[in-house]
Amino acid sequence: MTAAYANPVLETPPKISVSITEACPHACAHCYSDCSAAPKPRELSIPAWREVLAKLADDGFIQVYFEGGEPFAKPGFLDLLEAVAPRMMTLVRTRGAGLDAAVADRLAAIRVGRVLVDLMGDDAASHDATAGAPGAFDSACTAIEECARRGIPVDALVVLTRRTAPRLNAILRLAHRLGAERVGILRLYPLGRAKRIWEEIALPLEAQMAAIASLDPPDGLGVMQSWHPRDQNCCWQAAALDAAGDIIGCQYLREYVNYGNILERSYLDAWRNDPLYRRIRSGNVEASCPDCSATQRSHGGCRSTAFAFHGRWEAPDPFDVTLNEGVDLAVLPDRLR
Amino acid sequence: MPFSPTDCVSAARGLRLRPVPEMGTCLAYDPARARLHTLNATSWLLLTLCDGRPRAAIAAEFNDALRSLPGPAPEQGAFSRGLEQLAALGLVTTAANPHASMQTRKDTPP
Amino acid sequence: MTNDISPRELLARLGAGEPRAGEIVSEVRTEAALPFFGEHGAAPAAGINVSGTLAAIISVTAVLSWQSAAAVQDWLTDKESDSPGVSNETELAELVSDTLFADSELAGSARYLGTFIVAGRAKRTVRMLIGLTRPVSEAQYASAWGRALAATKATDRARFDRIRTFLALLLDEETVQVEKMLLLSAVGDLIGHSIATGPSGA
Ligand code: SF4
Repeated sequence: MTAAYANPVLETPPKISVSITEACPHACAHCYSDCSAAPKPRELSIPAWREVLAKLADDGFIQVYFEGGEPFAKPGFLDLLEAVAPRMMTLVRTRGAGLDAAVADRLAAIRVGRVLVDLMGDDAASHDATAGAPGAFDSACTAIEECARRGIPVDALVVLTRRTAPRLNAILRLAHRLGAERVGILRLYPLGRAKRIWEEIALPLEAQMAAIASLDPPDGLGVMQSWHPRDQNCCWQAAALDAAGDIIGCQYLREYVNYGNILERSYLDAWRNDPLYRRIRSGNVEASCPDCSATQRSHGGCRSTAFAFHGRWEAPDPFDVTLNEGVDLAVLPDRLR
Repeated sequence: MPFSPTDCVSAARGLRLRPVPEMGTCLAYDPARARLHTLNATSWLLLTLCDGRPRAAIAAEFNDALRSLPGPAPEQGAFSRGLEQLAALGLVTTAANPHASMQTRKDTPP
Repeated sequence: MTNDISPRELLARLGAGEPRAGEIVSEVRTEAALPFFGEHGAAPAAGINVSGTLAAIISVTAVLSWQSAAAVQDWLTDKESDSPGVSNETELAELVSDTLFADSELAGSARYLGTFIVAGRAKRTVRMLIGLTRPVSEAQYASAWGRALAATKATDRARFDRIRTFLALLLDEETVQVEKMLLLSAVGDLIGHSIATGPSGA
């Protein structure tokens, strides 16, 4: 079988995302990692992460995006960040828990590259209800403000659900007021706890498109979104490790793939030699949206949602209007129940 | 940034360069500013030539290198434009040349 | 470190462009890809003139490592063939035009159009194009190659070895894709009727 489409090809990946822990003081309703307050026993320790990240830098990685769980909940995380920052551009995604003035001072001294804070509502009632933790909204707002005050570039992230859709513009205004440079609107993935409440929070595609079309950001605030015509297949660049050091290509593929553990296999070995990893990156898909491939230079849209809804790696991404093929995104596929 | 031909130009300290030849670029991480940059091959060459020599010497080597390549060269002034970009991003720094005479420095337009 | 290459080597591959440097930022899903695009070297000129109408084009495409792509380029421009000043690429062009269908009624219907590196996306995608002035069935095309290579091997072993080296660089790749493109205005009504004859009939 020959390729009808092809993504660009990277010899070696330049950036990686690392889920540093699956522990989190919050209890977000849609948590993809099904986090709890205590770390899971399989997580790598900070000294192990130090070695892993040093090797990744040796292997040509120049950017690391830390996420969780809640990275700041992992004891020793700031020391790790300090060790990594001289060699790799660092980004940290947080719910804001623990990111107070003192931690922001430390982040500024470490010279963290960017902080990304999740917002789940535009007020305490809406945010805390989804975060499952009173005070979560205040800590998210504090995190954005304290970073912005110190000149640390900060973005807000919001997952598009039935709960956030009516509040999107209010969230944009809030993020701007707090000092965020950009807001990223993320699709909801059928992973972890999100699967259990899918029908309650997932929107049909038309409603998602309407929400995106209605965005009205304040002047000076950047908006990032990946709906048509910007639905990319970013797998061709993607590298990721979960909290146990398993090589998973992308955090959104965590439930579907495992290319081995980083303590047993180098990242570059998996990148070059794992047949499934190569296949997912290839862009050799069944259908490609011409508009999205023109803007994103990749084919087929997100491989995670394509696989989730169709069970095939080369399937069309149903989150793209031109590739949806009648899939109702508000209904979880039986396979995932 | 006003340049004098006798000013010495250096790449910023601590930069980490990561070529991505398959994309025709080199990534440059500047840990002091916590910023990641992408440089095309022409800018990457220019950055690597900024090793503390006077600007005029760097310009001469840069222009020689481009002339030796097949195909059309960038338009006149590429060196200055490239250096301005690198300086604006904080990727190069300049210092007055301690060996340049006062006369030369005075005669040099800003 | 990987990707051991100097800026001069990269410039030699791509040609010199206007200097460009800028900050890049990526998130994970929304702006997930580091924005690499916009730097595309010009495709090397084919150096071969083609005139006249083509009824079909055979495209042989492979996604190569940089090393293999460089090997293809080295092969094409090498001057090791017996005639002084004649490059391997010219020899390949001669084989296609003079030998490929030499022993059949299709003689002279094929021409080598060039080997290109695809600019603008995966720059290591290398594509060899062969033009045909008359439509040729896949079986005819495949057997013509077999006969042309056998004839070359019998008459000029060194040339055969060189051509085989080149073909192996493309065809041994697992990504290789061979497509036959037919001139749309000459292929009938597209609803299943047999392909019309080309400009010269077949
Ligand atoms: S799975 Fe989706 S989000 Fe993850 S890298 Fe692939 S396309 Fe991007």
